[in-house]
Amino acid sequence: MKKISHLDEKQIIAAVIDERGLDGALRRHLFECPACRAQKEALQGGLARFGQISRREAPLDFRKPRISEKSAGVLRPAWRIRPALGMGMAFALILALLLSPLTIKRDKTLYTQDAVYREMVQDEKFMTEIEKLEENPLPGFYVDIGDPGDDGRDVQAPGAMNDDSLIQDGGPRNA
Amino acid sequence: MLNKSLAILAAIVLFLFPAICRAKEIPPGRWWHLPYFADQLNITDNEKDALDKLFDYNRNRLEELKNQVEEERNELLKAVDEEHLNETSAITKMKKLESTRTLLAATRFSYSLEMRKLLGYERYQRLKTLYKNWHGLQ
Repeated sequence: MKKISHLDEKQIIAAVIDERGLDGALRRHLFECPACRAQKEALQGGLARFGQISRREAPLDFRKPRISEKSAGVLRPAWRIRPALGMGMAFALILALLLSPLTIKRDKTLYTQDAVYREMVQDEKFMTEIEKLEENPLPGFYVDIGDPGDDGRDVQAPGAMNDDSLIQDGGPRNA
Repeated sequence: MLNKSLAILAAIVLFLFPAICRAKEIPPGRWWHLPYFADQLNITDNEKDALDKLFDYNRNRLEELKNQVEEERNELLKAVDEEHLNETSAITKMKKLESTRTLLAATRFSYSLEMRKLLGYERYQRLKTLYKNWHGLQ
């Protein structure tokens, strides 16, 4: 079996970037050799520290913009993905508000005094018509037929009859 | 059968006649939406809703019956004015008209009755007093 010497600088860098890029024998050596592993970890640690320092010290304008997970795409609001869906949702919401009992109740409380007064006047007229119909649904002419007081003729009470009427009616002339 | 029903209805109306006459003791329209009445009678929102429903139902029914009475009256007058009078037909029409008129009176009375039930004795009496002293609809 071929003995593998320690990894050179390029191979250590390649191991830091992506260990899978090394061939199997080199990877096995890296795994078994504490010196090579220490070299690799030292470089890795140095790079990590450098990254931290650069992130911390870089001016704001040069920093990489951070994109939160929420706005990254998966959890983006539906209306930003499909505007039509958003409009539909807004319309449904407005409709639900309009039809909700709360809104209907609010409409009911919108009785202004002026509107109530006007309705009262109309209702009074309407109820007067109803009362007239209740009293007699027939026109005045038919009502007057049965009312001797309104037919224009002078009808007297029996006690007030004069003699002339008795004579005309064929009553006793010589009483 | 019809005659019997009519007689019963007429008896009810005659019995209720004093109450019907008193109907004008309560204000017309939706008086419960006026602070003058609502505040002094402590009308709650639920009661206002109930009164609104009662008012709407009653006035719609009265409107229907009013139209029916007018229609039946016209039919009766037409029957009476015909050259060849059909007495039976005229009397039937008259009975029909009387029946609807009785129903009209009963519907009007039922409104006052329902309101009396809803308000209770004390508030109903107070409503009448308030209406007497009210100068809103002059």
